[in-house]
Amino acid sequence: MADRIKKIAWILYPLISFVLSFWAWRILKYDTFVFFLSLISTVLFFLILRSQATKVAIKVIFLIILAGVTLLIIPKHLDKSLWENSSLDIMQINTRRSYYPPRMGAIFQNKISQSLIKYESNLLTLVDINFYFFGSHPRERAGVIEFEKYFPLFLPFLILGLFQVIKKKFSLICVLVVLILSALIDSNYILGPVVIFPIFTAVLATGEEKFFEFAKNYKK
Amino acid sequence: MNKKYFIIFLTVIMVALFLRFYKLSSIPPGTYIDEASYGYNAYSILKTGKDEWGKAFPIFLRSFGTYPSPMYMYLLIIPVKFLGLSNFSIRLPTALAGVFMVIITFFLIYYSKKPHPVKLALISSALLALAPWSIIYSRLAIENNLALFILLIGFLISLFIKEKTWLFIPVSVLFAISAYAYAAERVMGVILLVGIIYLLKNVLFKNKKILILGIIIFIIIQLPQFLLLNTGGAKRRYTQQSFLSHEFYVTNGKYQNVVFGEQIYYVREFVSQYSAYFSPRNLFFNPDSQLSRSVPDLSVFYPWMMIPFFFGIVVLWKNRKQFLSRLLIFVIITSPIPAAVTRDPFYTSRVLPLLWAFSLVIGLGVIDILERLSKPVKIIIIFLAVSLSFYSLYSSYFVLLPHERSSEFGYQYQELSRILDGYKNQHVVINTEVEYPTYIILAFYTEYDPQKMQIQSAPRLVNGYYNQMNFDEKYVLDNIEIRPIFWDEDIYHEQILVGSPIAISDQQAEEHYLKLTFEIEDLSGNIALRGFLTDPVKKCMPQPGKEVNSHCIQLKLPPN
Repeated sequence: MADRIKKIAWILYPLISFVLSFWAWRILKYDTFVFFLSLISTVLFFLILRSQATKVAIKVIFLIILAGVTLLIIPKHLDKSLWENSSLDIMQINTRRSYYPPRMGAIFQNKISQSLIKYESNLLTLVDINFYFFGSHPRERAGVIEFEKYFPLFLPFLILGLFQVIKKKFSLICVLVVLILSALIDSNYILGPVVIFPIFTAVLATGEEKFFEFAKNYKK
Repeated sequence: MNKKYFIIFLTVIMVALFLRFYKLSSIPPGTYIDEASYGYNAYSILKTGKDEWGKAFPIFLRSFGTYPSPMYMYLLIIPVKFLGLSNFSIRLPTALAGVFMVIITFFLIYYSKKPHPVKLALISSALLALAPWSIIYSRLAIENNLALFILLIGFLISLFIKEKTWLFIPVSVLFAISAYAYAAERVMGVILLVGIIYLLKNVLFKNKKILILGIIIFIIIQLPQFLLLNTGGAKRRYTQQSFLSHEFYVTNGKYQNVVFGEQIYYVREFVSQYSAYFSPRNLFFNPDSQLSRSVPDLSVFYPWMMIPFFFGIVVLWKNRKQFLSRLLIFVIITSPIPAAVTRDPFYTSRVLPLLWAFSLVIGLGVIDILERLSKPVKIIIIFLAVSLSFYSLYSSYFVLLPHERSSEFGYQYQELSRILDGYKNQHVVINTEVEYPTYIILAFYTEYDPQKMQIQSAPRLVNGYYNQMNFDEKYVLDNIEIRPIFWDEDIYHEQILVGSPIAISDQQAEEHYLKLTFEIEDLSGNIALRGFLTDPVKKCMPQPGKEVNSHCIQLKLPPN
């Protein structure tokens, strides 16, 4: 019996990380369906990260759920400002063009460069530690309602977890693809870049497991 | 080093020279107040042996109550003596330091192990030559680039301590004097000395005489600063900028009603500030919010550098047993500490050692990536990275910065001093912006007689040089008065009133019969300053239903 409990004790890591995140409760408050999908995919991605050779079925189910959440969220909450320039943007482009030598302005200031800057901003926000643990403090974004997603004490676990991510091609590709897609989500969406949530939580959980493994070995 | 590598190294130095000296006197346009303060005080010491306050060789420069470290100012005496007081002369030492840092970085990596990693040394020095942060701070006459330059010499020498233990002494000397170059190094100098002792403990503990001598010399050099620790001036930076105060917590802090709320607030604030210096968003995209220490649309590194940065971290960790890797890890972990106790988020000028270390990490990542690629792909990648860097740098630094930040750098006052040269027989009142030390920029550009400045400044030091924190806006530079405009008085005297369009509106100009004499535009084409000639005669003309102002009685009005 004790052995059996030990065997399934691993599930506590993703569950605890999930339950203790502020983000999960926010998702539950606004979208129960996404909450449950996130819970399942957190556990699945945790399994992918922790085992040496994950069963293909687990990877497939994870990818299907992830694709489902992506299709459910991204088309509905696309950041339209990425390709629709406001009148303020256009004014800035025109003013700035006048600073360059003749005919050079359009090379440096155009709608594409404007869109790229916005996308870059969204993408880099997603790799900002403070975005997850401190609601982007001390550099909160203007006009965006920031919220803390995880308890700051979990920060070291994230770093430990990330070392596990880069060890596996599949997990690394998953993280990169989800980051690239999540950058398309409107920064004012009430749930934030929710597609990344299960992956991030599973990485934290992996970090926790590694930490306790180190601690155990250190005691011995 | 073979001929091919030598030519590449020379090219890197030429690029570094070009990026640091091209249009040095006009980009950034004008002179930032801190630059003007260093320049004018150097000029004052050169001419009189005393600073603008009449203090001979200060340990902290009072300036306008900010008490920065003085070394840069002392260093400026030489270029000011030979080249005069100008934007170029005051930026020359920092630009030279920027070029020498590229060279030092090359040798630091070159001698870090055997066989010499010449490719890594070349790539890292090239990245440093191109790095936006290094270019920004190498073209700004402020003190932190010099402080980093001193630390880098110390790092370079520390590579050889294993073979020649006595070299620990010059390293201690350099770390100690760095504290006189920049405020953050007052803390970092100590941390780095402890770090070097720890990293080289096997060598240094075998030769305790050298170790103790080095520490004693370090303490002796620090003594003058240490003796002033209790003065307001020494504490100024800390009290002005730190969030570690009960008053600040009460006003701004979260967790007011939580047990240990204040302590939790401090820890949370520190960790969030500290981690902000590691955020890719800040490092590769979001510029420093200090407009005078950043450029539009470009942060301290180019966005493409984020990829080799992640690779570089892994390589650094793998090589963590090498001395230079351990030193870099130590610098990366410790250098944001002084900055992380301040209120300013991602204040890059306080973490130059960190940015330098990250440049080397990026270099490690670039080499790691390039080694995985075939030659043609390598060439394409290098070409793309260099092109993208120049594209961003040209656009952000050489085009957008002068146009969008000229007011920030006081360009309008540079123009004003030139214009006022033609109004020497006229009394001029320049309206002061709130807490903006306009006087120092004008004193800088007009090369105002330091003795005259000392006569009006010295009596203001009622609490002593190191304890006089308040900033007095009122100054008189011959015919120029710098102070707020008194509307119930100034319009009744014939003089020129100068101010921004907000300080002197069109409506005020019309109401008081002010005649527009000159306008100064910033480089984006917006009017920054306007000069108006008052017309007391017209203003005093009797108007039905209005009483004659008492100032008008003294005027002899022409007959109607």
